[in-house]
Amino acid sequence: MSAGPHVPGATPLLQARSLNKRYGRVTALDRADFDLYPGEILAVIGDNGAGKSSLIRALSGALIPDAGEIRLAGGPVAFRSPLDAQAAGIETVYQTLALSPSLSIADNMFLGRELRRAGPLGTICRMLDRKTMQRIAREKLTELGLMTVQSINQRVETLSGGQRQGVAVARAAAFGSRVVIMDEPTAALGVKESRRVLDLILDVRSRGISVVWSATICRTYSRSPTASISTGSVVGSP
Amino acid sequence: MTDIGSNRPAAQAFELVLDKGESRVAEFEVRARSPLQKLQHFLHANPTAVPAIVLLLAVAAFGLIVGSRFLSMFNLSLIIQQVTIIGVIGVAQTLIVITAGIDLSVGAIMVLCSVIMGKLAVTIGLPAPAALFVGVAAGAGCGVLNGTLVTRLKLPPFIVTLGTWSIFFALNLWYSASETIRSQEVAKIAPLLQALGTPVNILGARFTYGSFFMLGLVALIWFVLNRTAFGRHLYAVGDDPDAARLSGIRTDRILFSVYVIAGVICALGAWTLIGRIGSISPQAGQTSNLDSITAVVVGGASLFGGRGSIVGTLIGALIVGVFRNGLALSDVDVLWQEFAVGWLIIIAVALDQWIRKVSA
Repeated sequence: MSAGPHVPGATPLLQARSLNKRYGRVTALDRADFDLYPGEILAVIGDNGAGKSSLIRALSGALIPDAGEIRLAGGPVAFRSPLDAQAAGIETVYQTLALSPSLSIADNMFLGRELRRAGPLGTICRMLDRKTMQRIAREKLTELGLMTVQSINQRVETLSGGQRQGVAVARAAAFGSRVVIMDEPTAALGVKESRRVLDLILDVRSRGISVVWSATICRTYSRSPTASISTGSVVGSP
Repeated sequence: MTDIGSNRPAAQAFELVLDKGESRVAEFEVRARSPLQKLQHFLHANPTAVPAIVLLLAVAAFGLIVGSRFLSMFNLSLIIQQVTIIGVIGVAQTLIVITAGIDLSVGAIMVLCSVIMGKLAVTIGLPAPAALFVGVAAGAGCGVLNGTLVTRLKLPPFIVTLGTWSIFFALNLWYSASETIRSQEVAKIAPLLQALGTPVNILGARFTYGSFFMLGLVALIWFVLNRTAFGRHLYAVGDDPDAARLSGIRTDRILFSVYVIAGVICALGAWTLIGRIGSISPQAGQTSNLDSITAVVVGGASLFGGRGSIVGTLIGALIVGVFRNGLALSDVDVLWQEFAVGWLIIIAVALDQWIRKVSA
């Protein structure tokens, strides 16, 4: 499995060219370019207000750019909503995590794309296949080494910050076939838990999924390419 | 697989101590908890436990105070009859409250629908099933109005339903011309409308079809809430609408449909109302708006959304019914019944706040 810096000449998996986004008189993205190669972990770093989130949100479908082009595996795509990006195999872990605290871990993993029972129970009664969903949720958490939580049916509100982050990452890894985007995954976490999330990123990549993550402070991630962003333009890239 | 460890970044100075410390992150610390904290955690994990315990205690207390007059099968089944209407309307209210909304118009929708059913069947002479159908459709229509105002105009549900409460009540007075349709007339022309009042005697207990209808509705909505994606989405929308939206849930569509479903359930409540009182009066069910909220709140649902259960609401309605019935049998003045129910609401909400503060 290739790791780190890309092979020269390879086609970027996710590419953006000249993205522009303005909010009134504020320019959030100013001709931003972006390349993510297969099997790569790309860090987007920049200060608050530099345009990290705008870039990340444009790639995940949560923001529609005013101009510019996004290409996935060479072909142009136009995401109108996060659902479009999800359908294309791009999953996002939002800074707010987008979990529903009063629902269980398994419910949250499948929120918005629940599995239904086979046969008339599923088609007519719309009955959920809870057993399969719980099994898959448990598998996904185990794969990422997170299945030390007591029960998959535990409510998310009873989990710690790091555990919630783990559930959100596991959800993205379970459904993201191509790219997992993480918006400031370590912003709300302590040093120890941040370290664990960075290990998680490696785990996700080892499964053949490219990762984009954003952070405010530059951590020396020795072999990871970095795109630094400043005043809406990408100023340094691999 | 390449060795993941080799790709690991070099530890920074502030991380060097980490290897000496604990490496567990996603693990449960089992801390010593005081008995009170244990109770708080138990109640947090089992939201219907509180109302269930309160119901048992209330039945036991009135059994001791009033004796066999209260504990007789006949009286206990009478309580179930007495809570049928609030039980049905409470189901509608629970759905709305789970989405962090509130519906002040449920009682008005019910009375309006009962008047429509009665007028069409008795005065105009439409076949009873058709009158019933139009009544249910009218309930759905009321829900469409509420749902549209909440999702399209983005008005707070409290304000929307405060307004539609008056609107539906005025329509009800206009359409009925403030006249009551007598029970005998309904029985003669459209007995189907009173069908849910048909008594069923089992071992000295006296139920009505309405009681079973309520239990069936509770079972159906329990299934929808707990075993279908729609039910899970309802909780998600009430819990955190932004998170629900980012998960791909169409929150406005969920909210809209929940008001329509509530309208339909209120129309079914109209059918049980006619069965219960026999006649069709534009003045009936005046207190059911607030009674339904009482049942939901006493049943453990949170007005902040995301928490609440249909079984809890049924138990909540039964608690209120037991208090009213027990106090009445103790020859306590009606005003003290209201006094007791008032405290019940406040204690229920205070308990909910305490349970929500549970430390993770």
